[in-house]
Amino acid sequence: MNDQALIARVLLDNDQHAFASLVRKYQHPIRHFLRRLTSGDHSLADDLAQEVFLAAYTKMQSFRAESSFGTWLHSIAYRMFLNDRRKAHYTREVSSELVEPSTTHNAEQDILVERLMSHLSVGERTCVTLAYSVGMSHQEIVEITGMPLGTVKSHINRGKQKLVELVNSNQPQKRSSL
Amino acid sequence: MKLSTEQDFQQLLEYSDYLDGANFVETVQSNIKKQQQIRQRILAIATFCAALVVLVIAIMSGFQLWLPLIEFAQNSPYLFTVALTSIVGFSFFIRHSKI
Repeated sequence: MNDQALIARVLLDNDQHAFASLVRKYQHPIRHFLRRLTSGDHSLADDLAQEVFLAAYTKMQSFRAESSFGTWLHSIAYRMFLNDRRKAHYTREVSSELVEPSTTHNAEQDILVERLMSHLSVGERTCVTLAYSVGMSHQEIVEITGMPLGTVKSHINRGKQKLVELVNSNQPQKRSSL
Repeated sequence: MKLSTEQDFQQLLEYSDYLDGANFVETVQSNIKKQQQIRQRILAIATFCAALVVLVIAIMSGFQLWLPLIEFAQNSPYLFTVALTSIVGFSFFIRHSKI
């Protein structure tokens, strides 16, 4: 069943199973996106992701299908992150609980990238993640962030440049100090 | 690790697949249930308060509560219809909205 059909069932029948299917489908990209934005604070990212889906459920009627459901969720996640950052004066410190030695190679790479993200500004982090991790177009990033197209492009270029420099200068070997 | 090509960079930033979704989905569902329970409680309290106010007014007016309403309907039937429609519409909205 496609997204539109699931959304219609949530709106018309208040179908919890349909909403659970949507959550199951989108929890992975939304949680990863928030993990990148919070520079690897997994508990905060998951809390925000919970709020994102709760907000999506209550505001489902305002979804106009002008963009995809995934784009809409990412824009809610981005706004949630900015609100939380404003409220909590988010710091760039990475909690020690994030070091998970038993994780797989892919998970290690995720943690590495999340930590590298702390060297980027919020705008750069957001644009680089949406462009390279989610695979969104510049126009979709403009819709999500509300930034002008030129700003999005410069954030992507600058963020990419910073990450390449960090990785190529053997930054991963100094992971514990990030 | 060296990033020499665009593909290397893309691979570095790719999301992995290790996130467990089952618990997350369950937590979202339980949060929605909690939110709905809170909403139902608020509605129950509001209904109880409204009933209490009506009861007090009824007692104070010696149970002649319908007289002012009947007079209002007779004197301004259009306004009465608009008011009634608004009340019914608002009740319907409250009942079916997820807020």
